[in-house]
Amino acid sequence: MNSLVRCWCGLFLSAICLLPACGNSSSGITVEDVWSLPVQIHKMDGEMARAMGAHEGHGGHHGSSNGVVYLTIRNKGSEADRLLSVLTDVCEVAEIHRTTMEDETMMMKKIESSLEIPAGGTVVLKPRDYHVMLIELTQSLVAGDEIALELYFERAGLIKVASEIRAL
Amino acid sequence: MFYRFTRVFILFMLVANLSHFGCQADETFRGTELPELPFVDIKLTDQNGNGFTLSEHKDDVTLMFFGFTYCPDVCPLTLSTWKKVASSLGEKAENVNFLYITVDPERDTPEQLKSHLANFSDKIIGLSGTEENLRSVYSGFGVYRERVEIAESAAGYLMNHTASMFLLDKTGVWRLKHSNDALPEDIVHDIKLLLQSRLPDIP
Repeated sequence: MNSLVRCWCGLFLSAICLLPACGNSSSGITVEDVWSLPVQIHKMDGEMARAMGAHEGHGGHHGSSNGVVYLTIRNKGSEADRLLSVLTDVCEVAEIHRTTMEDETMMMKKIESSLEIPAGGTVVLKPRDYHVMLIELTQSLVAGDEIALELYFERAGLIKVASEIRAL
Repeated sequence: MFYRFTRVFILFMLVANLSHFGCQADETFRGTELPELPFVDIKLTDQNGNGFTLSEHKDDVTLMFFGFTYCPDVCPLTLSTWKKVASSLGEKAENVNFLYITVDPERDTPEQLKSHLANFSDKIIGLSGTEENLRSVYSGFGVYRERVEIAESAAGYLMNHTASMFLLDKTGVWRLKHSNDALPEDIVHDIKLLLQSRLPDIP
């Protein structure tokens, strides 16, 4: 009887260990220090801009606001992984971009397909470097609040995280 | 007794010298000083739709940055730095023109600048204008600006641009450059030095 209880306890504990915790995955990918800058959107943002047909052919509505997410991704696994996409409800589209500084000039580009996280490596999305660009916010990002993000990795799959809105 | 006096005297001189050097070090600019440059006037429109002419604000020190409101990273980070600069200056901020000049006039209307800058500080003046007026300001301050179409991006286009912060003295002459990641306290330090400085009569 005792051995049966121990067996069930063991199975139960194993199951708990296999459940992915928030920001972690069994593949060895962990996501830490997720934060965003506050942005107050105004009445021309989001739905109202669309309702008024204010879309510009070049992308971006007149009067729209954008946001940013910074985070740290660690890969403790033995194989490289790739961050494929980021989804969130707070904006129309989230894209992975990179800012580079050359002399005094700031240059920005979109990461074309995905962002590689080398085996045993860490990739930091941080100010003036890699970042998630939240394009056309549909709600304000208020200091102290959190926003939900879904990160899709090639191997680790979906990892859900919360980004803390921090006023600098 | 004589030796004791000498020792005290030497110690006094040492302390006096150190504090003298300390004072001197504090009067050195922390940004990069520029060679003597001619005055370049700025005539643009602020976020309330009013005209802004730099030559009408010549008793103030000017902190200047070229950016665009659509930018998610460097430009709002710069404005967050300015928010700290303005609050750290306290009343002295009244004698500083915080000029945020757009490199993206197509999207940055006065209304857009107004709502964006409200995130940071009411001290910041957001300037836009006609392409011609803006071009003369860009060339006057050697500002590089390039529109980059981003393929398959909802962002449409982004702007590559000079990201340094500029400091102009009370005569409106461009004197210093700070890198984009400069510390707020270093900018505050240089603004205070420029506010203190005695300048020749403004022509």
